[in-house]
Amino acid sequence: MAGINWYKYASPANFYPLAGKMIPWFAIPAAILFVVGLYVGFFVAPTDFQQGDAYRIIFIHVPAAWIGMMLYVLMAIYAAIGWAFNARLSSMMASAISITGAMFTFLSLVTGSMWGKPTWGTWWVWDARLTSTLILLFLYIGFISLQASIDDPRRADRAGAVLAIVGVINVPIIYFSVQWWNTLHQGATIRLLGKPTMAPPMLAAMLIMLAACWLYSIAVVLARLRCTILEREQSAAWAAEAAGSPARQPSWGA
Amino acid sequence: MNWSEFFSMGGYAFYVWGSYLVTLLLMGGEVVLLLRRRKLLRHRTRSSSEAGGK
Repeated sequence: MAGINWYKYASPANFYPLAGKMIPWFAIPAAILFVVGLYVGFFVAPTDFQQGDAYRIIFIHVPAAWIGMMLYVLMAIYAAIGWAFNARLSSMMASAISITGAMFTFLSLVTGSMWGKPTWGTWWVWDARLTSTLILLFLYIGFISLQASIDDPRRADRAGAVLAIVGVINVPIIYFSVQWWNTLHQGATIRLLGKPTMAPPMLAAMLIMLAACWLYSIAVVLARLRCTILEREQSAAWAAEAAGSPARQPSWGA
Repeated sequence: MNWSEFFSMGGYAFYVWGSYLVTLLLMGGEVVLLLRRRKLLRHRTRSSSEAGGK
């Protein structure tokens, strides 16, 4: 750790090539873990005695829901740092996270619905957990459209930060909704303390898929962050160089 | 277990495969859009610098 100047990487110009080098280290393990997770989920994990094979949807539903929530918290933290310390890169990170977070939240709602129909007999109920997750999706959409509607990037970052920080209150509401209210949605599947509530291969498949989705998210967010950096710093000479064109040589006299 | 039994998912084929299809479309779509955005951006950044910067 010593000897590395971490502040160096707070500058977009220095972070751009570093992020490029980091992407394969997340993307390749993500691809491997998706294959392993799906294999364990479909060929090793047994059929559930209550839900039949419909339960296999949770191998994507639970990771998507978790990551949708965690990315929101991360987005709010980066947005807050970007706002408080006037750190451009941190704000760009928040914007890069928002799209993937919205995607996973939407995915958790769709897969939850696909699971609810055969299991509960309905696509949707206005249950506390489902409703608060829908609000999470709206917060993401609000953040994305608010930023898109403001031309000045730094003003867009500040406005987005306010929305992201206020909206963070929704995350614990989603998490504890199954305890605070009588919900149709079942309780927590992953428990940090106490015995797991499911058979080991089922739990293993879900955790592997969770890890795969995390690695995927990191890779995709870094790739998007690189695009955002290039877009915003387009006028800077280093960006043109990073995009592959030779730096323009200053002409010395005639 | 044979393959037709596997694909029928105990009668839940539509829901199970539907979920994974949506997942594939969303994640695959995200990656494809990002790659396209990057390609366009590199092209634009390069050509704007060749035109003497902006």
